[in-house]
Amino acid sequence: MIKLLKVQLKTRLSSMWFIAAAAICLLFGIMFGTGHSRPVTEDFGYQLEDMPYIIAVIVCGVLAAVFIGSEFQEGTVRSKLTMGYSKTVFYISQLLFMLIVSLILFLLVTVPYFLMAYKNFFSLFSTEYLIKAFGLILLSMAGCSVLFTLVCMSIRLRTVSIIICAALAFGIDIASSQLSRDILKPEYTEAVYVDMEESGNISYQTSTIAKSTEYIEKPLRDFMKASYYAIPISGVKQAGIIISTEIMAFSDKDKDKVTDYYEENKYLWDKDFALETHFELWRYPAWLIPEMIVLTAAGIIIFRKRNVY
Amino acid sequence: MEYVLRTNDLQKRYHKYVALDGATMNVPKGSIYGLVGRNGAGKTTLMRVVCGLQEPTNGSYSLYGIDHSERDVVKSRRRMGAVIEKPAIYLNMTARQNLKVQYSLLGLPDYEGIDKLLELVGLSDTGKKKARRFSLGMKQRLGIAVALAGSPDFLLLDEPINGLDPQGIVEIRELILKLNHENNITVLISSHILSELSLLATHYGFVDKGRIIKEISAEELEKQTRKCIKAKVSDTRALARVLDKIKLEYEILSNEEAKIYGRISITQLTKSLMDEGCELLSVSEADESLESYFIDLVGGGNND
Repeated sequence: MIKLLKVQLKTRLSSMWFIAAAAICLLFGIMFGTGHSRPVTEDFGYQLEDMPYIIAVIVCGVLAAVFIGSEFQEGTVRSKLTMGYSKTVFYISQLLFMLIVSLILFLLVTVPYFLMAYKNFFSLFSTEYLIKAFGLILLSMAGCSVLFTLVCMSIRLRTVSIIICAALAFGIDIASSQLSRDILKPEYTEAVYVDMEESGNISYQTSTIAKSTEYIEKPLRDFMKASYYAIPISGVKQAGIIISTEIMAFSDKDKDKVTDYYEENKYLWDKDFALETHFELWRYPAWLIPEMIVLTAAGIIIFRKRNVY
Repeated sequence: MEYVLRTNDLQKRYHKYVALDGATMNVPKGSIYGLVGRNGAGKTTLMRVVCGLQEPTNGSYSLYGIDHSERDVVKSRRRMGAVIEKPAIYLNMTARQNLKVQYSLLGLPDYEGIDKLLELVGLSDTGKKKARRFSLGMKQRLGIAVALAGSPDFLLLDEPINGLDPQGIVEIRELILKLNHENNITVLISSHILSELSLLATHYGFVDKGRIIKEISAEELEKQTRKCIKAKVSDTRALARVLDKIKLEYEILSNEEAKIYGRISITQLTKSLMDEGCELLSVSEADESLESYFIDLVGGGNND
């Protein structure tokens, strides 16, 4: 296993594909870091951007497709299996390699991002939240790598895998955003009626609370929540939210302040889900780690059952 | 006789398609075993199964006496090298880098022997040229060199001369003979180019519809495909007496037919047979080539 992994690192990390991918991640890290290096004047709106990490996830998918696809296209998988490596060992070595690649890509985005915007990072964000956020991002990228490895080991064709992995990365990103938006829709909405005078002064104002037609009821709600946590990229998006400056102000120590904030805005967002995503971060690993184990087991079973040509 | 590979009633099905239908073969140690069969007969599938790339649906095989279901078969696999269909090489690397990778995978302590291997396959002067720029023959030779890393004593080559130009074919042929004669490597080679195989093989296995329909040594095959006269007589016992007297090799095929090897005067034969009270009914020249032998075996073109 170690030998296989070493060879993977040696042969693939020096390829033009990896160099190009590393350059893209580095570029986005620098770009977003530069964007965040300006002085912050507003209380709101300063967040850890999820975009460079989403790009890193897409790049990771493309690399998985190229590297795993090449094993099958160049036939090197045959020589490895012929020399006695089992299919399970081969699969796990590919997965470990992709996990290492995702870690490298994460660092390539994060390090320049940090270096360019370090003043804002350390003045606005607490170490605790930074660790939580980056932990979530790393876990998400690992989850995506597991998914990409499964897809590429099943498809085996480089070009088709590239298209599918890129589409998958975009797809899960859109799905995660959409799910989050839909679940956050409040159960009740407030309609405000205002009568205004000619001068522009408000003469009469009233509001009514009504059940929202957009609110998603159980059991579909539970299914959508489970899907949201199960989508690997959700962690990246959540990391961006939880270390925003506004959340910093709340912090875990001042949980009541957060609860009050969402209580005040309960007609804008679903309070329960909002609080859940801020404080119950265990939900991500609780869903994602078993999912990663199941996907890996499924991938190994499929690879062992299928013939190698 | 010691065997490197033995398969027993090996079967492989892809859904409804039967690729191997009870293939039983024995590859003697030190031989060049030619697997002969038309396209789609099951040669490559057999090799893939033996290499562990695919699991047999039924049946078994053993490598160096170790059954494929045993854990130790992994150790046996380390003693073999294979080039199945196309060479397994990293195209963005040089020949030397490819061999270094293979050495690392095998866990060899150093890169000693790479120069020798490159020289053996005639790629020692390729320098920094990447494998993707190699000709088909060079790629094939590099594939063989990669398969030879770790000094295996069993080499599987699937259609190694497919697509090569005449010079490439000669080079690969000479390399295989050299590996077999000088390094004592047992070679299992598949091809449907029989004329080429006949220049290499010491043993043959004829494959048709996923079965080994005949295993034969090159010596035996040569006997069976020797130039001869097929004589039809009224009494083959009388014919045998006559041929024994004039010390000619022969083979009695039936009560009426026999094969006679060597030069013989038909007039003299007729006269001698008449003396024995035997009538010579017909005489025809038989010149069985490997191709016609194979076609006779598989039953001509209506076998698909």
